[in-house]
Amino acid sequence: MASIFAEHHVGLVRLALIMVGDQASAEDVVQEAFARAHAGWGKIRDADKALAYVRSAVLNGCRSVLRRRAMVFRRAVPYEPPVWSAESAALLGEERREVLLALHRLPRRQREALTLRYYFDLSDQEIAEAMRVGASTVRSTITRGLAALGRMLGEDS
Amino acid sequence: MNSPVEDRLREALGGAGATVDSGTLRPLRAQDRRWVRMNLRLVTAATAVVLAGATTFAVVAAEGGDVDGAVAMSPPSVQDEDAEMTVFLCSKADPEDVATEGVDPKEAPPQRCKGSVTPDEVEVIERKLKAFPQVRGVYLVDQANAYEDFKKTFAHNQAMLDTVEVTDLPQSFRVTFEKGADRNGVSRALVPVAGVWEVMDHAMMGPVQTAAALNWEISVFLCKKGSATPACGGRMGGKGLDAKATKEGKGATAAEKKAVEVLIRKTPEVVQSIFESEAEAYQNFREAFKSNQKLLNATKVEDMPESFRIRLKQQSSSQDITKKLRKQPGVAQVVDHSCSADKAALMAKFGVVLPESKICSVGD
Repeated sequence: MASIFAEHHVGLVRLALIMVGDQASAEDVVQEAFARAHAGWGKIRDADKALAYVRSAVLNGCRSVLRRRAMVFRRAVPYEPPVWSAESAALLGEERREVLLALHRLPRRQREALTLRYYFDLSDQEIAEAMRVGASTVRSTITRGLAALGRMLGEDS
Repeated sequence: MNSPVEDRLREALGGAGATVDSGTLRPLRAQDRRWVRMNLRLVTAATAVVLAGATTFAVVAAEGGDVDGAVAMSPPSVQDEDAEMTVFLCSKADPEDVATEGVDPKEAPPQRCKGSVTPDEVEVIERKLKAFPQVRGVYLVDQANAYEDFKKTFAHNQAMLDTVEVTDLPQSFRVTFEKGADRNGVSRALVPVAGVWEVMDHAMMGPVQTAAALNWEISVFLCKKGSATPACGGRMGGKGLDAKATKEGKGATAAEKKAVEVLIRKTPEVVQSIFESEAEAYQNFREAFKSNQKLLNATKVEDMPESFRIRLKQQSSSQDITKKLRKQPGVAQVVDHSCSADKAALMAKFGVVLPESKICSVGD
């Protein structure tokens, strides 16, 4: 079962990176999810479920990181600049940065759903399992998220 | 069927994801410790920048008679000042409790320690430490010694003396190394050991000091045009990391700057104050981050805020003036460096993480 992590490690870190913004925290989140999952491996039987479980663990971890940053160290916390910050503009390019910034202004669910869909190309059902919501919720969330994103980026679609 | 928004989103996510290089990832470990280490690192980064003078980190533990008991356990050659690494042990009061105050307990990170470290565990840890050939000396600081030192170090800060008790301070081993030792290796090997709460390498905390912060106790940053700080009339959308300026604030006007200057000059506790322009701030910034080329390249003079830097009379309280300054229009942020310095010292020396409100008791 641990091979799931070996196989998906990079992908999971990328998912976490898109959510929390810097690689160090992203790796921490994945490490933490791995450590927890490790304790509960016995309970998970089929591999598809395991991947969904791991994905939602990573998403949960990201939420915690964001929440903690917001609450405990509310002021003046220079963690590493997120990939979409001005400091990293050179890495990403202005165009992508704008999109990521807009993505991070979306509500949490829309942001997560859009990332899982457009970065990992997951199906509605897979996204639903990772996010622990219904498949129809996923569809409507993605539609709304895209519309909001389009408005923010000033495109009519 | 793809809309342009979808394409752009796909492309941007791909770009962001691609910044993670699979070759540089830390390998996963089965031990459940990462989380907490990161938590502490965040604080370290926050404080190291404002804390001036690496000496605060290096000066460690008690002097004279206080340490007799501890010395018996270690070669007497180990001097506090030389300690290069501190291994904090689990204590009854998990310092995490204090740091996560206000966070829903259900959402708090997992506890790193299962109760206080046992004498057996202390022995095991000490033996492990001494087994490393690169380790020159090991030295145990118990709670009583730590508290003595704590009282000495923060004699000026009543709020902290009131908050922290003997039992809040974890025991710790101070470690010195031979030249060229693999300190990371030692640190990594120790983290999973039962009873170890945190390993702090002093070298990690040293060099990030801003020269400007060293000389001034209070920094008053003025509003910049486009700032998202509510104090400047900007507004933040989203929360935490997602927070972005949804409404851009106004820069401080000449009249507002003048008013701040007058207020500072009229305050009797102020010994000295200067105005730091964008260009000067940029100079200091370059000096402070000269090892980080990427950051330097990405930062322009216009990114720097203007500020007043203030030095107070010795022993005078900074609370009143910071409170007044925070209320001034055109002031984006007031940073009390003495608080940050105390906070960093508390964490580096004693392994206790306290919110700044507990350290400086400044309400705003």
